[in-house]
Amino acid sequence: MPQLEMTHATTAHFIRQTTAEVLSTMLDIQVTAGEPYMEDVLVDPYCGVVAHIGLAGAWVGTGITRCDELTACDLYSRMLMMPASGINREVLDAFGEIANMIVGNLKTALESVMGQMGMSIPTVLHGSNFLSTCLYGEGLVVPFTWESGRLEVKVCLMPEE
Amino acid sequence: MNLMIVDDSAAIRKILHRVLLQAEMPIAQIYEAGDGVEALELLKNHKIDLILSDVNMPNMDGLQLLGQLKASDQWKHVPVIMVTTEGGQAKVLEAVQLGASGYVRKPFTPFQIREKLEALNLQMG
Repeated sequence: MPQLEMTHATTAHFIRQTTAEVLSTMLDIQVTAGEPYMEDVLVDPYCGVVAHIGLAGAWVGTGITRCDELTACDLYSRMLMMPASGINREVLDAFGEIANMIVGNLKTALESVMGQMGMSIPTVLHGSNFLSTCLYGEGLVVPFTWESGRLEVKVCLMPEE
Repeated sequence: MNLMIVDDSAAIRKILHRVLLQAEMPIAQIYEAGDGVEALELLKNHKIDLILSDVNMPNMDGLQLLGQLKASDQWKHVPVIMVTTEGGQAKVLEAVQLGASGYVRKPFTPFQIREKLEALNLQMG
């Protein structure tokens, strides 16, 4: 159990570090990280944009980023320096690439603690009133806010048996 | 000179396209491909002088593309800069051993891309 708690604290630290770096470098956003929390396997229905990236190796699981539609459009317009008229393929593509950078750098950081891992290409979902779940148990969520948006980064990981 | 950007993300291709246009280089054309397969098709029909490529892509990833290019007499001299989230030492070493001319980790600043291009420009004389 102590090892698991250390992993959660370490994971939360790396999530904060990598998310802040990605949003600052690529989008010029200075984020404030909120308190990390554990999330149950089944969550309340969600409305917005969610990106899933699979992780596999000594540990297996999923890296997830999620936000509402307004934040997704804000992220797109800051990244591409052009306005977003609404959720469309380009906005979802940009959101997927942001997830790719956050989870990709998180993976590199976690490898120093958890060993080598491979990573999938992002799957991005958009909708309202949908459920999303990881089959690996609880996930660690770190929320991030800035003046025009809110993004959550969630990681579900367990040792490969 | 003709450049090619290889990345499955349209957003990253747009950003790199903009960065390349703002760099002080004599660029005639910038081609774009969504994966290694598309990149090889473009190479068959266009002369490319420099490639910026992601690693994780569907159909053919960046390291597979790099391997194919360096194994080809026709394309082995085309410099390839990897632009990727894969920042682990093993991946970087693999890319270097396959013949990558540079490695830029995502997230990147325009300055970091221009710096790599300028270094390459000096090497190419």
